[in-house]
Amino acid sequence: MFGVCLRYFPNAEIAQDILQDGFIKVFENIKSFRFEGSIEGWIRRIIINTALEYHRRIREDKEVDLSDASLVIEEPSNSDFDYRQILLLVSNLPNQYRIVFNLYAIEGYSHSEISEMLEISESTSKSNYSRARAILREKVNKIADFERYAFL
Amino acid sequence: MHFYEPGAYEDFIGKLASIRLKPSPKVWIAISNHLQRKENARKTILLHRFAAAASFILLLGISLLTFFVFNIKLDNKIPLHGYHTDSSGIIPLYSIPQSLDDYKLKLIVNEVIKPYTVDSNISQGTSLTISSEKKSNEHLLTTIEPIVSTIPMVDKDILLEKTLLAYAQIEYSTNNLTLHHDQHNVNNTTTNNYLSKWELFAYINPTYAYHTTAALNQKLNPNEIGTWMWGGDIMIKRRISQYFSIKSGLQLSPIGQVNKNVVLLRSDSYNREMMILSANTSYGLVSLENRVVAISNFSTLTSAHPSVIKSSTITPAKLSQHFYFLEIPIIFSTYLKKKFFEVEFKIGCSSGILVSNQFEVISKEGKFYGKTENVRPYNTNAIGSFSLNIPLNNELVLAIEPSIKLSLNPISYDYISTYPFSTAVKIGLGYKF
Repeated sequence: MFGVCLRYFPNAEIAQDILQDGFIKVFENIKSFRFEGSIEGWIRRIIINTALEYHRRIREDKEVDLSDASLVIEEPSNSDFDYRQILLLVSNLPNQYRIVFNLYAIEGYSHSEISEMLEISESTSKSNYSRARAILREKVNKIADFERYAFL
Repeated sequence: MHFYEPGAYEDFIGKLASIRLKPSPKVWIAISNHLQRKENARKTILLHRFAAAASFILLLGISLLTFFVFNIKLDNKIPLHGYHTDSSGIIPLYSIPQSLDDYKLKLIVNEVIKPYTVDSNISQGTSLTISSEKKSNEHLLTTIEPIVSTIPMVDKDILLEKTLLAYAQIEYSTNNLTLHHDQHNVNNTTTNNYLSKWELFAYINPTYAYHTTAALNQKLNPNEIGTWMWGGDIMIKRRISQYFSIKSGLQLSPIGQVNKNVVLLRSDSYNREMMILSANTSYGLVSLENRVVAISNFSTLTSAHPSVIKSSTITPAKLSQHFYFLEIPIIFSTYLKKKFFEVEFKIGCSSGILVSNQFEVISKEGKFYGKTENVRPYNTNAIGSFSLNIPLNNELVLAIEPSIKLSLNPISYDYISTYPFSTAVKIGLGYKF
């Protein structure tokens, strides 16, 4: 779940705050879990909602510090790839692009659902996703090309 | 046939979705602490709600009981102690040969204030008339002798002695009657009415407010000190007997403190982190809802965001926290003396709601205001005091009343060991009616 938080806000401190708030909600509302789906999905949904609440709170403020210096995270459990580099790519996206990208490309929400969650129009959601994808695709392809040349 | 092959972008999405990281152990400790604190708060809220409801019901019950019980007036048409009366409500004297003591006690217990008169037109075969109506001195009992002589079954001396004793008790208890033993006359007097049943008091209370955490040296913040504040009472007092009274009304009760261990930070530009900064006090967290100005303790300043420290001017400041509760007290009192002045000892309790919660930060940068967070919206208190009542005339009384009040519940949900208390020297003016 910490990884989920980092995807939305690639800053260790903010992500930990969201994780903490999210898990407090989980424990306070555990009685409302009806065992109809996976508990992981239920927790993930709460964490995402908490991240979106945080996003709504800071929407007016564009000065969220998501620099790579804040991505110092203890004990990565998976070292197959450099998660810092991946999160750094995501952190360079504007806040709303990143949120829409995560909700659509990773979580699988539709644009109409995203528009309701973020209180934006559906076309804005589509536009944000499209731009986020274009930015990321360009950067990822550049890195891939660089790695290919480096390998050769 | 061409199949779709995932490229670098799709690989990136896959990796992004599968990031698994462990957060710092501090997060789990913080979650655990938060849940524990909430659980404790939930239990105490239930307990205090129950206590507040019980206190309110108790106050209401005692008030109603006092109101109804002590407003029952002596009705002549109701037979006293089941004595036989005739149709006019007159008690035949022969029917109370051994009951003068009882009647005397009845008068005392009911604190009959209006002068009780005995019909002077009593002769053999007639009855003793007892009336609470005011009559002129001509209607008062002029002599005991004819009454005694009409009772053949009762020893004359014994009855005379009991009758005199009864009148003496009437004089003692009401002070409205003066017995002249030599003439066997009872005269109506109006010189002293200190036993008026109802008194209305208005107090102004210079109050020193503090809390037990600092007083017991369990210092959360070593620079917290008490503060002087103003309060006020409007009270109704009812004398329920010669030596006891009950009092209730409305109190504006102040609680507060001053904290000199705070700093004010003023940022050069808008900074969201300023809003997160706060100062700890024994009465709860205080923070300014401001992106330019923030408040913090010296001790917690190190945990502020680096951008706040870099961009801010830091100045020492003084924090004053003020809370006002509107309370309904119920106070019982007893009297030590009743000559020129009275010394009244009081004990009671009160329960009320928070009507004002404000803090003020004073520094060179100016004054800033806000509200202390997580403050309980109600309180219950134990009250003890003694009062010096000096009569100014027949109706007005000056009261000087040193008092102490201890809150029975903490003011903050976060600091459950901090109980506020206050001491005051109340100065009040009472009106008897």
